[in-house]
Amino acid sequence: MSIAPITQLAAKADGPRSDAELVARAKDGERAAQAALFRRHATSIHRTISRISGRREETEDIVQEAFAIALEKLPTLEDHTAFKPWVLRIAINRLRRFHRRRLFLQIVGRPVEEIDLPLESLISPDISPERAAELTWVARRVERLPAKQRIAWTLRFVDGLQIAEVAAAMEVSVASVKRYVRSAVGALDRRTR
Amino acid sequence: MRAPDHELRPNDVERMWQGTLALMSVRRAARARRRRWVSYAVVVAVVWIAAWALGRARVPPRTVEGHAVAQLEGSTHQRFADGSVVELHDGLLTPVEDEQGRARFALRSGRVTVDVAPGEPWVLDSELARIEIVGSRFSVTRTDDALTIELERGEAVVYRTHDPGALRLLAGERLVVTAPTIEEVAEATPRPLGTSPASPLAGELELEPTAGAAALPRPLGTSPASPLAGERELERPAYAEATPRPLGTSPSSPLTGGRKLDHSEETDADAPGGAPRLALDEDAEAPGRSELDLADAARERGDFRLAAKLYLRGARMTLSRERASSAAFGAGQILFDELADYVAAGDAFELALELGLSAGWDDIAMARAAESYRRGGHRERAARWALRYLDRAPHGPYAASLRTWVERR
Repeated sequence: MSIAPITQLAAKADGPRSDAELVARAKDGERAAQAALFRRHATSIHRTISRISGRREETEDIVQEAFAIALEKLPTLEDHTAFKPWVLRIAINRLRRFHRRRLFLQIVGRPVEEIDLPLESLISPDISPERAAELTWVARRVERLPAKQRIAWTLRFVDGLQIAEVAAAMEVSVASVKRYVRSAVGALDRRTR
Repeated sequence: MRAPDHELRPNDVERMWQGTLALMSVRRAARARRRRWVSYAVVVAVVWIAAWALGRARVPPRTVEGHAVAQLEGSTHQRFADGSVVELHDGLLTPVEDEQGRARFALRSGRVTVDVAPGEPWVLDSELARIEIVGSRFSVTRTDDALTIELERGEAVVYRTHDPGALRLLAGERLVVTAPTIEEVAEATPRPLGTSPASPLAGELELEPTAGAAALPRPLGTSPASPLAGERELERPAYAEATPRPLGTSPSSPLTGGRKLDHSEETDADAPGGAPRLALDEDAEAPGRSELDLADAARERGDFRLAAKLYLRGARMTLSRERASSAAFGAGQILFDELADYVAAGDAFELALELGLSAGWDDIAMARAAESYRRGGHRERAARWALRYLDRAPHGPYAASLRTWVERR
């Protein structure tokens, strides 16, 4: 079976359409609509996951798995406009699974993938060196936070999601997200002091 | 803002889309494979359950109801669905319908050993007796004129066909049930019941020949020798009620669930040679030859020693404490009134009190125990019972005489 390049498939999707329309067509098994959804949201999802994970290969794996699962289970998606949050939620779940696997590998002494997409790479070169140094310090502390706190903090303050969106992505309550964020900020404050 | 490493380039998107499609096909294949394995597992489970059910169905059913009847013949070894094991030696064992849904079989011939699994009682019928067992191992051997029951473990209750009484058989005991004459029954129940070495009554009284003179029976407690006769007449009707009645004939008997037993025989056309088997009906007129019934008969014949012996034995074997205490009381009456065996009478009254007499009769038993021991020379025991009587009934009919005796002493 030959697989058509995504550019050709996206062209078949008849230009820009709403997520809801693409989801409806993708549900019917239209490969072009699926490709259009992927192209539209993969970059954004990849960016979010890479900021939390910090690992290039792991991020690509997570994004591919998240889209594969989402497209398989697309018939179960009732709100066609909620495709992106839904995929993000799946990706966050996969990210946590990867994190658990990494913890296990560390416990049993197996080598784990090093961080190759550090958070500090997002720091703008235009800011002052002192400010950049401070942000680098914060970014490195964030990488040491517990997974839930790191995910909540990154989604909230790096990706700029609302608390409710973070809660939906993490599949936890708003109160839990607030607690995670508060804990993360508290930990960073303590470490700053 | 510089973040090139966190951003996907167009060729990266294309590459990842191809990867996603490949991943989807891999997952699809894995899902199909998993579905196939689940199907295999379901098929295996169904086959296994069917084989288990078929195997279970081949096990002879323990009960008749709802199952095919399995007849065991010759020498065979069978494990029943409930775990009970039956070993049949040169015999014939056929299921019998039981209205209570219990496992019930009739031993037509030969010898059977049953290892009963805990749970519902097993019932084994024969012409001579019905045996009810719970969680025991027992053997039953049937010959033309006798049935031998040996209990290895647990407890069994034996209902003899020609006898309304019930005998309790304990582990290690053996009972031979033979033809139903008084002499034969007396000889056929010699070993364990009531006469086991552990029995407190063992050796107290020797069984005497039953062919005594047919003396006219005298109401108990009316003997001229009775110490109480001159003081107060016993209430005859009340005593008559308290006189031991054959087991199983009382409406409140725990052995029958309020049903009278009759052991009339009926012919089972299915059995070889038309062997008779037990049946239950509401006719309670069967001749009584249990220990208590035999005791009544012996008393009526005037064979008081045998009567006392049988009452005491019956008191030990009877499942009902009320019946047992009445039997012991009756034995005490006979031993005192008729045989003047005061110490034995005192022991019998004591036994009756231990077994628990009904209110009113316990006072009389205390008074009679005191009088019996006094006459027998056991002054300490007599005083103890006298004081107990005075404590219980300070103004009772025997209080004055007993108080006088205690004070003089």
